[in-house]
Amino acid sequence: MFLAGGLGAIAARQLLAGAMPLPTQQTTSQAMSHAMPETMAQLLPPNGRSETPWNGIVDPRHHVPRAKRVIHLYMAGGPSHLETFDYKPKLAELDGQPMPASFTRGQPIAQLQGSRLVCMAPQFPFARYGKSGQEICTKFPHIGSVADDISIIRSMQTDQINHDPAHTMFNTGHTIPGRPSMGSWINYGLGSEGDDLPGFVVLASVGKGGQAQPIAARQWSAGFLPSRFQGVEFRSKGDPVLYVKNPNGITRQQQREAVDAITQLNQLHDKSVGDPEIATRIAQFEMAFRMQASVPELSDLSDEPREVLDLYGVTGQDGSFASNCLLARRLAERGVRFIQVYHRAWDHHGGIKRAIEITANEVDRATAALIHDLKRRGMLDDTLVLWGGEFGRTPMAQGSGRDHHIRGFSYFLAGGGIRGGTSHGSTDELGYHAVEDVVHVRDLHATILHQLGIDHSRLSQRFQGLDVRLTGVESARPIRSIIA
Amino acid sequence: MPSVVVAQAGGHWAYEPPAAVRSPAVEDAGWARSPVDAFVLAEIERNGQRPAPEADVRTLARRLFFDLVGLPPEMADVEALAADASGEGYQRLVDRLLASPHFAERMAMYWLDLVRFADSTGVHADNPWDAHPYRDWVIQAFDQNMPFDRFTREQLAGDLMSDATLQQRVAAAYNRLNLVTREGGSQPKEFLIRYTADRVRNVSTVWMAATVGCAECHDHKFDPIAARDFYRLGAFFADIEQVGVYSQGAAKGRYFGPYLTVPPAEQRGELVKIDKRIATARDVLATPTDALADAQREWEREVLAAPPVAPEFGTWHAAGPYAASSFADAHKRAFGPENGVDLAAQHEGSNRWTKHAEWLDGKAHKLAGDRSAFYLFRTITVARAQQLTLNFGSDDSIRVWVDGESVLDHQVSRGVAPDQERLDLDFDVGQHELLVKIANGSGSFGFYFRPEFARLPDGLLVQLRVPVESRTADGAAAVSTHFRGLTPLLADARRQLRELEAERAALVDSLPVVMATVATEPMTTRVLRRGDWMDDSGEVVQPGVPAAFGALAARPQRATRLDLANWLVQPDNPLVARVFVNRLWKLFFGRGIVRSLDDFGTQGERPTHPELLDYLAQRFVASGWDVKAMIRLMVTSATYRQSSDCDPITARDDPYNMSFSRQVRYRHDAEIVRDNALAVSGLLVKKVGGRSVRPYQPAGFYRHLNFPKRRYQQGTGDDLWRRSIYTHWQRQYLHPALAAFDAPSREECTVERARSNTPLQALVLLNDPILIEAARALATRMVREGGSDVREQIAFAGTTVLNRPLGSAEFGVLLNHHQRLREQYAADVDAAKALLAIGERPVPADIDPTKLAALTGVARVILSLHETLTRY
Repeated sequence: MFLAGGLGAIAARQLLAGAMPLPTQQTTSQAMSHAMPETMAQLLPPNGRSETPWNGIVDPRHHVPRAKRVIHLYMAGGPSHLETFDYKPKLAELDGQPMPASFTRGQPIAQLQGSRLVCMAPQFPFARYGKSGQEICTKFPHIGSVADDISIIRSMQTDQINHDPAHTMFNTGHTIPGRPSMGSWINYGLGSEGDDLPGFVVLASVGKGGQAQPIAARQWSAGFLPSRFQGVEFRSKGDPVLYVKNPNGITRQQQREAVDAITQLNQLHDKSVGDPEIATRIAQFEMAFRMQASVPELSDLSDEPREVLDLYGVTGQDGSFASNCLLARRLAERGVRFIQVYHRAWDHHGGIKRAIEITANEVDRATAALIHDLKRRGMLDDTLVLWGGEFGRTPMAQGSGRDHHIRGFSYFLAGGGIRGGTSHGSTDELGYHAVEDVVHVRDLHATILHQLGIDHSRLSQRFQGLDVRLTGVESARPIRSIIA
Repeated sequence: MPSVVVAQAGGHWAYEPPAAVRSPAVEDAGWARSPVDAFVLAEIERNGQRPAPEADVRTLARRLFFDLVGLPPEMADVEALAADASGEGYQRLVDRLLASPHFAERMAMYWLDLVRFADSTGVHADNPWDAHPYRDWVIQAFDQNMPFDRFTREQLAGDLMSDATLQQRVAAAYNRLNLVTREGGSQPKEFLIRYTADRVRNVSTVWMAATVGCAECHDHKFDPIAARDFYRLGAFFADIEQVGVYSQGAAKGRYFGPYLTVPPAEQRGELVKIDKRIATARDVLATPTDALADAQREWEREVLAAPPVAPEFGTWHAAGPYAASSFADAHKRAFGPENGVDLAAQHEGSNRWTKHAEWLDGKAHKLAGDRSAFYLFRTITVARAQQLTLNFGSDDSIRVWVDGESVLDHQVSRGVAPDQERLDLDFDVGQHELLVKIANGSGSFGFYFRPEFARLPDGLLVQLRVPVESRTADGAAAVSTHFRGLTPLLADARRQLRELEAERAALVDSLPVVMATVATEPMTTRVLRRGDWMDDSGEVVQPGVPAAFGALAARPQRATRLDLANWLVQPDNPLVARVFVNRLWKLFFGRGIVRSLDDFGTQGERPTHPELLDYLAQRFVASGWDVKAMIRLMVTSATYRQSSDCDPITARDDPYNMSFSRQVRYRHDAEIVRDNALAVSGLLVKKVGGRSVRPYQPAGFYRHLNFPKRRYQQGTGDDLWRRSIYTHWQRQYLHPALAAFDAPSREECTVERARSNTPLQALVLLNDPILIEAARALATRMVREGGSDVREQIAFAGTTVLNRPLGSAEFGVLLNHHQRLREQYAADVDAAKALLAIGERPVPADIDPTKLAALTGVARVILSLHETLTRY
């Protein structure tokens, strides 16, 4: 036991956050054991009342934060960097020619295992956009219009070549299921700013241009952290949040009165047993009741002016990526810390030319609209926007498409203290290997945390004998050159 | 059994042999009720504390019920315990609960977390699989109080035990519970290594509380576990028949073979009966008669005069995929080949005919492409006019043409399986053209082909040419068997046998199966540098236990999973008994004696009561690993019977109850939250075991699953009200109400669940249909059993759910709530009816809906109380 009664809450936070060496006895499982207080909130201070909402374990921040929140536009399926942000004229020259073996020897290959590897030209021209002259595929002119606000990384690498493990890697920094996801880590570290919405919200849409690879709820799991830090999915059909709708035959007033009755009885019970957990229970019923109003209010876009709807290219909440981008802005306004917007559309094994056109049509305008909208509301300064998938696609053809690729792909970041109009890193002349200023997923994680005021090496929890971090045990560095 | 040597590991307490412990001296010797109490009391006294007073009878009864069977007591149970004058009532209650089948369910809930039991694979498409017979085996094992050493052996190596019983082989399905993938493009070699690592992590956490998983990429940083130990432990599992990436097509979604059929007791009798009838039918076929002998002589003459000639099948050619706008379009649209096949021609798109000499008959072959079609072509040349039977299978739809004439057109969505379609066709002498078109909606895509025709088995002609009197017994039997297979004289008998066999196959097909552990030639296990599966340069290792924990005795043959199991439960292995009794202690006292339940290594905690731990571990082994006896020892102790109330001074001085000077209170596990509501409302269906069930679940919850797309098939009838341990456990999308209350996904071993307190839990309590239905059922009980007056009815709900009378202030709140609801529903009867319509249980027609709805509102409040959700 280490949390002696006299230890202040801040010192205890620092201990848990790894600011000081952890006493060897402390493990996460005990931190969540009921022999200990029941929630992380109650852990600090050990004998006090529960703290709701959770204000985060990194308090104060490790350094001055540049961003308060994150919106991850998650291009699930693996967008081709060669048809988005990484132009390779040499690949066009070699179109139809064998891929030089020097690139592919000894490399992991997914569905092209055992096939003849042939180069495939970029399917669309690129152009230079903005004052910065960023090179972007012409199928994404709206993103081009915000070129001076975004920083493009062209040297991403990951470790996993199939969707499920690659998503797990991208979200949790680890390939074994059971670790907390980015959004959970960030809410554990910083807490949420809103008191009537969860701190980690997931939105998902399905595109028409490629097969919709499945997505596991694991991708927004809190892993071994308490489930209050898990992502909550807002759905476009049915109840926007599971169980958020009153049962048939129960009005909002009746629900209010039921919650009041529960609270009164819980308070009476608390008087006889004196359990701080009861105060938390009462607070959670209140939060639930507020969510029952705030969630539908949030999902209802009818209060958005026509001009805003047109900007995003939506008519209402229709479950599309575009309407989810608008929802993301609304969530950000209401203090949600981490918003992840999946678009399940980018697995283009065949017919990539047509598929990119369809998918670009689905995401281009709304992506730019979100950045523009945040900017004009003054929110881009403290909102970090990420755009990219779990991996890229091969320079080699797979019929008329491209296979999964992990040795080099692209991402872009905007806002939240990122220098717009910049590029970072590059791949080789065929777009196979990231060769200059390589950015591993871990480095991207470190960058995200850094912008939020968190030193990635100091946000850790003990689990199964390890001090687990989002960035894992291998080296990870924030990408200094793109930070303003 | 090989002899085992247990080594000592550098003096770390967990790996040391347990010390001989003596019961410590205590001042308040009268407090103790069980041998464990002296150990606890000595520590309490050393700290200058006092144990908490004994909990009241109601709390004790509820605690025992929730801890031992995971269900609430009825008021009569509490009253009986309170009225007990003999002083033996508590013991009797413990014995009664330990003998209940629900005790086994309660224990299984925890064990299934450890072994990560689930009903789906956990990766990518997260397909459902067949695992529930293993779950039932676990329940049965706890019910029968199977000794823990045997429990261990059967799970790790039941299949390797001599004369393994069906149940032992079911137990060995433990080895098949690791996450597996079917994702196309996955590297089998990489995934085989993942499966090994998964098993190593599980076996080491479950039985050794060792973080061996840390050593996959490098030697353990803190504990004496080398990377080599990791792979040696993995090598024990290298014999398990498996594939790295499971197939894309299989009948009934059974992709994850090998399987073991597990007939429930009632169906075993049916099988025996049908087997007898089959034996009789075979006897008829085998019995010689004069008529048969005459017919055979005649047939032999004919065959020798003109032996049948097998048709020749040309090599398969395929063209595709032809992309279509929809599945129906893919099936119907003519892309070219139906107008005549020219193997040199190219059709729409860039499709040309490619040769597939590797496509063997009688096997399923894969195609690829969503919303598209493939054409398959081959020639059939017959030398004598004859009838051929052509069998097809397809994923999804199929069309067939012979010589340009359509002979089959079946638009269907399905997985490929043998002989889904059967065509009997007459062929003239000459060459014929067979064209097949397979169209696919999405996901897996494939076909199957198998022809049948009259032919003489290899070598039979030789036998026939031997004069009858010179034939060997074998030769004569071969000829006779073949003849009996085709003579019209036995056509009826053959048909009868075929039908019986089909009946048997259908029966077997309907029986539950479980993924089986089948030992095969072990694959090579190498130490992987930095865990890199592509690096083949590492040392090849043989199965072995972590060197620091001990060693298996030298043996000439490769060590097996059974050797590993035997080593784990060898009486002089101190670790496993400590690990298990520590977890039992946690179940009944809220925390382990070693708080890090999953880590007995140097980074874990030391035991707060080391002598108590050793006492329990030794006693457990000495008792023959008797689980129920160990639990009885714990729950009959004075330590267990303490109150969980915590005054502010104690809370300050010992916030984490390091001295066990009180009991603990905590929110029930997810399953018990739901089961409790079902039980008090009378909805609960107490059937034990069987296939997993699908209770109410929000629509569209599985919409992010694909290959195939999933639509939740809600169960019917009793399935809706079974205990939650039987709820279909979809790893990637666990039932959201279970997940909200911290039930784990079971992708990894969970030794201890988090216990969070979140708004999502409040939303479930307020709005989940099963809880509304339970409230309505409880309200119905209030009317029927509570008395005629609403005060009595509310009091009834209090005693039913909380086993206590309600206080007057509580009464006031509930009466007021009831009054308001009664008025509102009287003004809006439709709203009352809408509330009552939630759930499949029929609404009682004889109760005024406004009354029942108002009481449902009251019941809903009581079911949502913190006290209702809490174990004290």
